[in-house]
Amino acid sequence: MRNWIVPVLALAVGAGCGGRLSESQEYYVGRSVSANAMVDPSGRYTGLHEDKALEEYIALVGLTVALESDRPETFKGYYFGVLQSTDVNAFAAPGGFIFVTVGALKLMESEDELAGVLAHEIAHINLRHPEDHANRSASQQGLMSILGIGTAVYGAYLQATGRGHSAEDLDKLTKGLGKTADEFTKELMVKGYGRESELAADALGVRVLCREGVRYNPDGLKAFISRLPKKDRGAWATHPALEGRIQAIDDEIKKAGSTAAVDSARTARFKAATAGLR
Amino acid sequence: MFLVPALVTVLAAVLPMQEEDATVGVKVVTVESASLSLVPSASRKLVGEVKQGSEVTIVGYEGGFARIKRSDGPDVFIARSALTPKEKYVKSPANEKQMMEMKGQGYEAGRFDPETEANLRKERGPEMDRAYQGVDAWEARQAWTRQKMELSKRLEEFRKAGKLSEYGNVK
Repeated sequence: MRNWIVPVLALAVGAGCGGRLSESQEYYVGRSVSANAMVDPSGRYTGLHEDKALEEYIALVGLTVALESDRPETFKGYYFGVLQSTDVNAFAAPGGFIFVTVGALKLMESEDELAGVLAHEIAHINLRHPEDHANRSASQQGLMSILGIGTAVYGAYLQATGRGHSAEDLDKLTKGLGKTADEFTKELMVKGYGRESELAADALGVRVLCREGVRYNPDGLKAFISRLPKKDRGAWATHPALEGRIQAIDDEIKKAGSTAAVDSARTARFKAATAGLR
Repeated sequence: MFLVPALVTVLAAVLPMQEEDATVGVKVVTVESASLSLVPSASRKLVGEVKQGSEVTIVGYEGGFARIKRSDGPDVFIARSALTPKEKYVKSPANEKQMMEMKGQGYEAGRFDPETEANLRKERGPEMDRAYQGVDAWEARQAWTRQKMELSKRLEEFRKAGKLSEYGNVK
């Protein structure tokens, strides 16, 4: 087995390790990150909020945006869930698993704000920020040797011939998946992707919200960000930083030209869907 | 051997990410199922879907969508992010010789898969196993989102009721 791992690594390096994870690979990393998000810091399972009607409503808002975005298809589609947390947060895991916390939903006042937050997260998926992050994490662990280009063929070969991983590879991959998902979850839920990526996601999010097939009012994203409690602002904790972010969103809205008006029917259904949280 | 991970890390940091493929010709669907629509959209005017591994012939692009020319009807659109060039698609090699030949051609992707996940679940203990079951249940609850034609109709009703898209007021 070792005999071919080295040529594979050489090939992976030669072809550029910064290459993309496949759609299915991204999906499996996303599932593990999602599982991590469903346990509390003490390791106890907390799961998602149990209000199925609320989850379905959020999925409809999210899919209205996602399916008109630059990346409407992921390996198994987008999923939207409500995390049992009082923190004000939302995040996107690789592959299209999108979470919003109970705390964030309680702070929102309209469907347009919810759509704005989801559009921002969908933009991260469009811009492949979770994947870049997972790639970097895998690279830092030297995992590209087994996640590299030639290995996919090896994987397909194992599948086609009905053979499983060797014990050695399975051990490496398991550790790799676990570590990638752990680091990813920790950074994602606490720090976000960094200012540059967050601004890029704001900008793309606004553009998607203004598209013909969507037309939510993009002011919703701005309104929600402006209302964030200081402790939940992450990299935007200082007043000038937050002002700069809001200004950048405003500039993008101006560039988009005409925008849709807020409609009372949307706000009413948002209030009805989230009534159980208030 | 310890130099290898370091070298990989450095190269991964300096090499550019793969650019979006803008070539026309035969492409392969990389997602479980991709929508086909009469307009560049994955939710409006859907006419069908294609499964992973299907080959489609692309004649051009409009934003995030690729145009497919059909002999028996109007052109349809598919998300370009759901496609990869035929020569890059990972097929299943039949034997070790074929595997080495394909490896030599260079393929994308990697190897986190159900087997790896199952092993991780076992290692991490019962609470994490419950969390994975939570993910499974979540996916099952939202299985309706993968029925693309029905979803398209439902989203249209949702847009209409919420005065979105073509049903909205633009200021």
